[in-house]
Amino acid sequence: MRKIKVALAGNPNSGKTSIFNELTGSHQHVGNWPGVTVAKKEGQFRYGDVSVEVVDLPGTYSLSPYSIDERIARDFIVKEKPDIVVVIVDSSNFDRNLYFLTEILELTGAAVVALNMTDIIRKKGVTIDTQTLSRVLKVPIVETVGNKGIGIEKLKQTIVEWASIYRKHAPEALELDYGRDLNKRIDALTEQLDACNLPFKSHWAAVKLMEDDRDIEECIKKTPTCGPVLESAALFREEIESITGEEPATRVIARRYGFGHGLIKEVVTETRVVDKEIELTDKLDRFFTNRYVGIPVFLIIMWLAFQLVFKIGNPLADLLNIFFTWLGNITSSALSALHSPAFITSLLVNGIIGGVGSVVVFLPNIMLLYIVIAFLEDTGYMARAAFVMDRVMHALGLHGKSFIPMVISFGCNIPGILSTRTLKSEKDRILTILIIPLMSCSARLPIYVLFASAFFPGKEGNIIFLMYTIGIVLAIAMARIFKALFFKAKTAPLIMELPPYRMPQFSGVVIHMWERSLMFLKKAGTVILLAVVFIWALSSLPPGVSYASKSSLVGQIGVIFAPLLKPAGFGIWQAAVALVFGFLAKEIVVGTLGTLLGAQGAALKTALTAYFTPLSAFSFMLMSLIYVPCIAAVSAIWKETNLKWALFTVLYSIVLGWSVSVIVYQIGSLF
Amino acid sequence: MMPLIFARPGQRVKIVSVSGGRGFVARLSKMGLQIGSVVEVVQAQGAGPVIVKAGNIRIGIGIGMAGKILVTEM
Repeated sequence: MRKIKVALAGNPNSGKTSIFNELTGSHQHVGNWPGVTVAKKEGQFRYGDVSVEVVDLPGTYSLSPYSIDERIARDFIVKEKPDIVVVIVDSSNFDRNLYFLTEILELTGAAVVALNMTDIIRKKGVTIDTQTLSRVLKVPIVETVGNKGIGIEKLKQTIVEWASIYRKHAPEALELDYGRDLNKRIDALTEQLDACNLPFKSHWAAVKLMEDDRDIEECIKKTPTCGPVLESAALFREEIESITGEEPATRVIARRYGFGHGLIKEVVTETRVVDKEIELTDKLDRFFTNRYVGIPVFLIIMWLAFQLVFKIGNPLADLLNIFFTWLGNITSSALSALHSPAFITSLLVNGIIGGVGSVVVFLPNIMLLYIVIAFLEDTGYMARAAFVMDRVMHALGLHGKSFIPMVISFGCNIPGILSTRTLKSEKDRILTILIIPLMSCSARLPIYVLFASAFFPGKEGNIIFLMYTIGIVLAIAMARIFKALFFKAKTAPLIMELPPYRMPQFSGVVIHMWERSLMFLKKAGTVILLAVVFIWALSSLPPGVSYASKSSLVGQIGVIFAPLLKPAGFGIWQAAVALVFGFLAKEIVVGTLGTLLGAQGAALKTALTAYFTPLSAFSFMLMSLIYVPCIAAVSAIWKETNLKWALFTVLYSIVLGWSVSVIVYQIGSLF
Repeated sequence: MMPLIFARPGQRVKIVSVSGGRGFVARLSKMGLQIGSVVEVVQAQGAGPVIVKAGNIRIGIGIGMAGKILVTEM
């Protein structure tokens, strides 16, 4: 069986992810804010006897890399040389998408164009003559409507056919007319580059050199005999600047656009129709991004979201609770009927059902949280929120785009950390990563829910909202401090595309929510299960000790740490143990308390009141919020930055968490 | 001629010059805003960030950058 490799490239919001899903049949998230496809996604499909491997590249505006995302995409096309690059072109933004397409075609003719969202332009009365377009661009073109699966079979067929035609007889790649002055110099550079044996087309590299593309310069520098080319390129750029009075890069871009505009005149016919969707987006934007109401509206939306997560989630969580209590009871009576040893009953009932159960009951809250986040992303509101927050973020020394990773981190810090890749400046990126652990992730939600409903009945929603807010305030404060200490440079400019508002596809939101909830369940079934069994074992050893008592191993660990926590109001060893194990995953804090106090659900709440006051409960919630990100988040920080920053995050968060809890408890005790 | 931050919502303006770094000008072009483009100001917050629309594309421009784009009213 023949195998070919295909890369999907295109502008952000061109519908690339939908096409990827349709091609490979994999279920993934279709997001709406720029750059949602950060990680490298792969899939495959078969067409006839050909197996096609598909890589979904991050959305980019050009092949001159501006952010990490764009670098990933370009490096893949240039270095990995896929057999076919499928360029997804959003036909409703034809002009700009054509620019990107042109850039790709200058690099390689091994491309297939998916002219996407043709249903939208048709509604507007626009038609594109694909035959002429295909003839001029020298590549096949397939019309598609990615989110409805239209044109996908044709696309598959074209990919496979074009790959074999191209292999046998590669037509010349597109060479644009850049005007006499530029052409002359590009040709001269091309000739010199031909001798260098570069891994990509010389003409393309020559154009890139005229654009002053640093990456290509670096690449050429590494080729020993090629040094003089760079000197000529620098000279040529100066010449162009003095002849035209323009930066050569600007001129190249203008020419490329010029080519596109000429082509558009030739292939696009337009009859004017009023587009209701555009009008609606404009109207909504006038409201949501308004100078005065923008931020209050944003806060109200967030507040409503948390109310929803709690008000609807709680009764459902109660039902699960009843289920686990019932399961524990029947297991225990069944086992005693079988005369099984006491330690097995204890392992199953106290350890596994108690520990895992006390975490899993929060599944409804977590599912709702993910629904809310997916909804905000898919409607297009999330990008507006970043815009609205720009002024605030700017004043705080953060980038407007930092805001999106921060919101995502409410679901889980790890995707939040990964999504900082859309930030162009390394300093902005590290700064954002450092403060992300202060965003309350869904793993901390169970702790809040448990303590808030035990100690602040009737005010749970407000208390939980307060925890999220405190996290944000601390993040802002730390950002200022870190910026002053480590990152003195100016914040990179915010320019971001705002996609049109869309009603999210119900299935998209549900799939997204389900995938992430499944991760939570898997974690409950693996890490958390192991941890609770481990804690159960430590609680039952040494032999003969009464379960989870102070003289058990776990008790002894807790006793060591408890004095440190005394000033914060919870100097009991159970709390210390819970926090220590919480480093594995924050859900374990609740699970451990469940195991150690031998209770869950309503009984756990009652049990807690024997050890905590409302004040110390609040202090404990703060501690859980701030102290140390979970081990998975720390390793994500390590991967995205380096070991130094990862350790720094661990250290600063422990110090900050302890300080805040102690200050709050000590001041609170005065009243 | 005025910096884009002072534009009012609903105005149609033409981009006259951009005085950012070399990367910024190129970036704007590639996102669909070139010198000479006529754009509609969808939202302006008064000496703050702006949203402009060129064709079907809406682009949010942060406060720092909007100050560096000079426009004339059409």
